[in-house]
Amino acid sequence: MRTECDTCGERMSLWLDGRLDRAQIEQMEAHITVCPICRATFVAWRRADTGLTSAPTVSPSLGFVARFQTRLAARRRRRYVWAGLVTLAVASVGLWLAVVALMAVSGLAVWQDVSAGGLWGQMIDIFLALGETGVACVDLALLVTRALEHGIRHPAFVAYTLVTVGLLLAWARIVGGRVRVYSPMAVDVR
Amino acid sequence: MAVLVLPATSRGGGRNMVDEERNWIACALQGDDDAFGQLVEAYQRPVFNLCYRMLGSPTEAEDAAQETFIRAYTRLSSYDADRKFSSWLLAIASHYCIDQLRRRRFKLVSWDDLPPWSWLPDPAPQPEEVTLNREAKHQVRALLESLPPDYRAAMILRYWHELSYEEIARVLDTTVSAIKSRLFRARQMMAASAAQAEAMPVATAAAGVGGLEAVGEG
Ligand SMILES: [Zn+2]
Repeated sequence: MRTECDTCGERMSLWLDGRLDRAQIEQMEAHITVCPICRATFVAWRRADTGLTSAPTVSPSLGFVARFQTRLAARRRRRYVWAGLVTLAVASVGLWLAVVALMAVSGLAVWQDVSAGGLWGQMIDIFLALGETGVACVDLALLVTRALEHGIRHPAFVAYTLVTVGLLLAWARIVGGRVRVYSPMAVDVR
Repeated sequence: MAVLVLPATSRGGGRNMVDEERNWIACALQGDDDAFGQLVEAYQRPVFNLCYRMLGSPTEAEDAAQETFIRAYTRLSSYDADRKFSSWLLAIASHYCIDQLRRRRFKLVSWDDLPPWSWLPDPAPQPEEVTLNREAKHQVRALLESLPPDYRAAMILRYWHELSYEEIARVLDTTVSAIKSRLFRARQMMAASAAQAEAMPVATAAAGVGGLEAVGEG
């Protein structure tokens, strides 16, 4: 429920803003003269109104436009730097995505081969071949050992061994002598 | 440079002022920074004043006013030519300051802690500025301080920028009836805070102004 005081309060505000017509002003004044509460409010509001009305428009200090232009230039520079950083980030992310995509594609191809059995089959073949080579190597070693075992008493083998040892000693004598000649220690000994 | 250009729109300006402003805006849109500089020159005062009255400190007001023009510069293409350029600028400034004030609530900065504002060099001091004493300045500050940001903006636009309810509503992005009730509520709040200040003996000196026996005078 709106009291006469509520209406009067709203009217006082409108009056201060110059938005009341003659009749409304008269009604407001009539209420203020009889109502001490609204009269007190009116005094307080007018006091504030006068305070605000008398306060001047304040200007910025000199050189505002120049400061604005400096700030604008700095802001622009910052924007360029940001744009550069963003470009760089996007480029590197793009690069990484490309690498990852490539890896994914080749990984997928390998996986398809693997799951199709083709690659596995080939790999198993390779391992089998390696295994066979190993077995062959062991066989070869056994064969050589057996041949030595059988041939050790044969005159041809003995002759061969003697010649080999002789040659080895001769070679050692020649090379060993040279080594001693070129050795700085050997110079002192001589 | 030496001539202080008054905003074309705030004083009713001449037709050629409006044309000149249109020309500046058109040139600025083409990338002419000097033309935008002319707009800054013309509107620095109302924008700075709004920021100063909103934030209460010249340092913060300078920053807010500069930011307002930076925003205006970057959003110039969205400016609607049917609208007053001054109103558009004041809208940007109001929203920026309201934002700052809402953020400041968490910072707990008191106006009294901020540096004194008397150092502010004014190229063309107003006669009122000279005659106003510190108490009156403090009183205005205290009155505005008692208001929440949106109410404060409405009050400032009404008192310093002489905008109509319709224009204030447009600047603050709201309805005329909302502005009507904001101004009404703002007056209640200001009166309440002034009464509270008077009730406290220490603060009386600051809040005191010559009583105005206005009642009954026709
Ligand atoms: Zn009443």
